[in-house]
Amino acid sequence: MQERDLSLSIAHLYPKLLNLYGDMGNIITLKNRCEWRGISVSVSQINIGDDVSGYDLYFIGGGQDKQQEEVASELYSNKDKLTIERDKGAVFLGICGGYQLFGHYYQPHDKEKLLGISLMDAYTVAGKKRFIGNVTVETDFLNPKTLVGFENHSGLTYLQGETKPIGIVKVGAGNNGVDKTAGGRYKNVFGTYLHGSLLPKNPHFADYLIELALEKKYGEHFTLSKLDDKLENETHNSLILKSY
Amino acid sequence: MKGNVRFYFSLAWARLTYLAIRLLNKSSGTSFIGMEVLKICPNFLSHCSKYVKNKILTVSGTNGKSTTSGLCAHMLEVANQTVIHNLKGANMLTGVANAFALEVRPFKRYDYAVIESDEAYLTKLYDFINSDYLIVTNLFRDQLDRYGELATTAGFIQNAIDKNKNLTLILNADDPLVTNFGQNRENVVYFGFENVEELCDYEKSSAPTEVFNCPCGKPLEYSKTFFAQEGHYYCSACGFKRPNCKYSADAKIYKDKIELNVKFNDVDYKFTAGLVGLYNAYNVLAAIAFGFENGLNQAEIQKAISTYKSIFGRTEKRLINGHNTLIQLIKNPTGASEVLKTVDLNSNILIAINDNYADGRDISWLWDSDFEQLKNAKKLVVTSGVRALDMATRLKYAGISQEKIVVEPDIKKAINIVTKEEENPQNVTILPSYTALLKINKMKFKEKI
Repeated sequence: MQERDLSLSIAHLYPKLLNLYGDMGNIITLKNRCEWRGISVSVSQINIGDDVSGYDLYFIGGGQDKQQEEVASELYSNKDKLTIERDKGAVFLGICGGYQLFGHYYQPHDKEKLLGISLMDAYTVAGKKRFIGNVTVETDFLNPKTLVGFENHSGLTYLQGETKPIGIVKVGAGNNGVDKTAGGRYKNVFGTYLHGSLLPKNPHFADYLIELALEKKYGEHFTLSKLDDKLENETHNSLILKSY
Repeated sequence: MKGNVRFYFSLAWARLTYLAIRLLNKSSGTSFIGMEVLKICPNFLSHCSKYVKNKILTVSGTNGKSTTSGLCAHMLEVANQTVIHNLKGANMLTGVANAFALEVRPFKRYDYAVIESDEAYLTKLYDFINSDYLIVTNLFRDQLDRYGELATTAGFIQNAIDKNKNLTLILNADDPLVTNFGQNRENVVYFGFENVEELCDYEKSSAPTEVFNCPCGKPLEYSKTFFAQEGHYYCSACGFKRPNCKYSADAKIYKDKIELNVKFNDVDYKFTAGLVGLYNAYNVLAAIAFGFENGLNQAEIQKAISTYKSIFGRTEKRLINGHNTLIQLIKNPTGASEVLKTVDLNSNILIAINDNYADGRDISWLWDSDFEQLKNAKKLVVTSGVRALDMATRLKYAGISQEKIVVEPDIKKAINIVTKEEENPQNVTILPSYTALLKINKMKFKEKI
């Protein structure tokens, strides 16, 4: 099949509540990089009460505490449906608050636990200190290996079982400031604290996610055609090892 | 050293340092002297407040502080009052101290002080200064990397207000996050818009709309929305709603001016300002409310508005190499999106983005700002500053073709690209982040060829 015969459906989960740190940039990037290749793509905004089933790629961003609470309970009511989608191979990308909710729970300082949807084996507890700064991560599955972005979180996330980190931090605090891990991945579920926005300055990761989503939908692997990524790559390279 | 001695010593030190810096023909920045003065005399600001005879106004909020406080200070001067004002936009404690250090003389008294204050530093400022008025303009997302979340920023301002029982609040009624400060409090004056007509052909914004919650936690509903969370809101769960305004206005927004009809005590007053955008209409209305509260009359207020010159880059017009150049600060999504609506797409455009502390080190706000407004730009779009590449990538994904985008990290060189001497006079738009703007203001250019 040619790229122009392909199509993808993207669900942007709760954008009105979670849209804190340039999250739209990730959606804009996925959409443009599909369309520039002739792959047709539809982006649906999923709001409270909407059905979440049947998409190829799910994106969820970060939000302020109040909004995150609201999303958490809605997301939890869709836990079973989203678990089925995960097991069918759908791609999930969660940033900051969204990432935390992919785990089992988020334990704030002085409030009750927010239950997550356990798409990955991870949990988050509130920390005392806020990690704010530039981040460079080294992965073992991307080419080039690096991811660059900006983190701003006080939650400390810990991975367990079969959930692996997306990479190791070269600059920055990462998941918890202690074990050097950054982000989590299990099956096609990816979560990270990196925003900035993440995907525009990491176009290779955007393409990796698009390829996974196409493979899920069509049952075979596609290698995406090359785009002119001069600007994106220069941006990426200028941020590698940028000081915290 | 005893307190007073320390204070006079720090004043003398500031004076001498300032003169020395001038003699060396160097720029003193906007905070250096203030920083040193606070080291010599930590109580410097409480000594200073004794030099103000009449009233002290503080202005805070995420956007519009400089324009609003600049208008208020200018208004008072037009009414023949003497004013101390940190007009250069340096609004942390050191910047405020800087302004006082250079103005205060042992035997001189001022009628007013007009202090623009950063949201996070307001509570510290109130440890030293008893303010009579506080204007809060709005609360948009701004530099979240510094303060974490909007709720944190609101908390800073609330702490400051709680410290100062005699404070009269002048609040933007259209902003639910701002009016919350006025709940259960006397001495609150509200200003807001009843009707807004935008008589210029803006493209509809594609920036994401956010849900804003009532303080009770339920989503707010709106009978009118103006921009971002500004509008006529109410909560059907708890009854929280936009308060009635002592100064309520209708606004007409033209391409190059703003007309306001302000109703106050059942009388209509008309005002015209040569500023662009609804966001500036809010700044003007806040200043009008302050002016009337302080007994100024319509003629004085109108004269001040017409003669107000933005000294510091917020919508500044300059002639560079014969080209008409409009410089507008951009620093956060809501403000930037409002500014982007007003950009002349036939002009040469330069966007200069830095990521220093004062800019906010996190530049993800570029992705929440509506740069899609520029997708039909006719000429070159040059990006500059430390994050010139990020900005260029943003423009590419906003739909501007790569061939039109020029990356030149050096701001001086970038300005030369958009204001070429050999070209016929044209319009130029420069959109800098905060520290990029400071840099541009220090540069010297030929006005004419």
